[in-house]
Amino acid sequence: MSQINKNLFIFFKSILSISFRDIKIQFRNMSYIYSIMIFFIMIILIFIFAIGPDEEQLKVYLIPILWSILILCSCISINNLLKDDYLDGNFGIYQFTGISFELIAISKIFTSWILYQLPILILMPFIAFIIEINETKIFHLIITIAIGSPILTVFTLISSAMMLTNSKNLILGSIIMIPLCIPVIIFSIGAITNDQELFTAQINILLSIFFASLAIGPWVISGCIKIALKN
Amino acid sequence: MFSFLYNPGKFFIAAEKSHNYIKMTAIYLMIIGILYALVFSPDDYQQGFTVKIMFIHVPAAWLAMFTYALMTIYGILALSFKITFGYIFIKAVAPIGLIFTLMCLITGSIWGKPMWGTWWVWDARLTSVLILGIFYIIIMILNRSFDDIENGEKISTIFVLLGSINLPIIKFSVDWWNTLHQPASISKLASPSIEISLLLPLIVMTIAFKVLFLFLISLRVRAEINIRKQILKE
Repeated sequence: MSQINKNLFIFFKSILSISFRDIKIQFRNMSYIYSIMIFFIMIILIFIFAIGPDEEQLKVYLIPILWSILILCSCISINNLLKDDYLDGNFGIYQFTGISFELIAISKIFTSWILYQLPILILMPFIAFIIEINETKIFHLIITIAIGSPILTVFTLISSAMMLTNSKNLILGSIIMIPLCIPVIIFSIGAITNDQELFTAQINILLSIFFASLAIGPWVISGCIKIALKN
Repeated sequence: MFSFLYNPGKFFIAAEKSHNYIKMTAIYLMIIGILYALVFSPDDYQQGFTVKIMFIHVPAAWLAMFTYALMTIYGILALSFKITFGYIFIKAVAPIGLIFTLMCLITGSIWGKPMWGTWWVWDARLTSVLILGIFYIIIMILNRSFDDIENGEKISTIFVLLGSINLPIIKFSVDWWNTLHQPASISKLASPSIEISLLLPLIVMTIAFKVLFLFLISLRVRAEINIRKQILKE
């Protein structure tokens, strides 16, 4: 029994150390995270200039637009997530540590959610405050983003793992990712804009997608990394 | 006995032997089916002559989904049992599926203009079929955009498996959401809600499309095997 506990301890310690290493590398140079946040705000500005400052129209359109921009922000980080580790040979070293790639994929999901989605989630109440949508809708928006952004992270990691050995067609990663995101955006926008009665039903579907993607995602990601490492 | 289904060499021989038979069967069945559908079957009492579009639209839609299901089965075979014929099959068959999907969408919108009043609605059924077409295009792009061919075909196979979630969505979209597209009227096993004089030509056309599909598969898979032989020789 104590042997199993010790193994579990080593196991969690190794996963956490991998995650902390990734977070440390990104925090040495915060410019990437800042630029994603600035990108988010800039596209909101572009949409506001395009629609015009009319408040009634903004109230209707801005929630779907916020969600679409969230997907775009996940898309631009696709080529940044796993490629560094692949090119400097870290995955080759992980092969010899005895940790399976599924667990490395779980730690990657954790870190890339913290690095690339959490800043936007923190930014969201302020943006919603500026836009002046009513309070229950802000609450619903934050709940759907809190559930939906890990799903987006899993999808970005899947497409970036697929694009590891591809160096000439960089736009392909977002082409793979966007069709997979369609159910997420349908149900999260449905949960916000529909009536109060339908809210829990749509959130339940969103949660089921979340757990399904957490179950299937690491498996697919590790399969793609193994394919990339074969040669 | 069934080894020609997963062995490239045996598939090649079987396809070469049956080439002429399949071609002639497809041509004759097409002629019979089109004559039966256009000339000898009655017009619908509400839709008039436009109901004839159904005889192209429905078989094409079924085949568009059937192609993806076949690709999924071969993808599972290829990834889990290391049967390389699966990769060849997926690469060869994806354009055929794209053509059938486009056929279904185009005939559907031609049929939709007089019946519904619009060429296109963002309806659950129509959108999910459009996404199926996009998936076929992505599979084709993925097969062609890697430096290493082997990586490209493996990754496109993984994408085929991921995208197969779309198939049940297409099938049940008319039941789950309120759509403009009508629910299934043929596959109700007990009592199909389609008149028998319209059902019979539809069945003939479906079989004709299936045989045509077999013919296209045998052509394209043989071409793909030949290309790979050429690469191996060099």
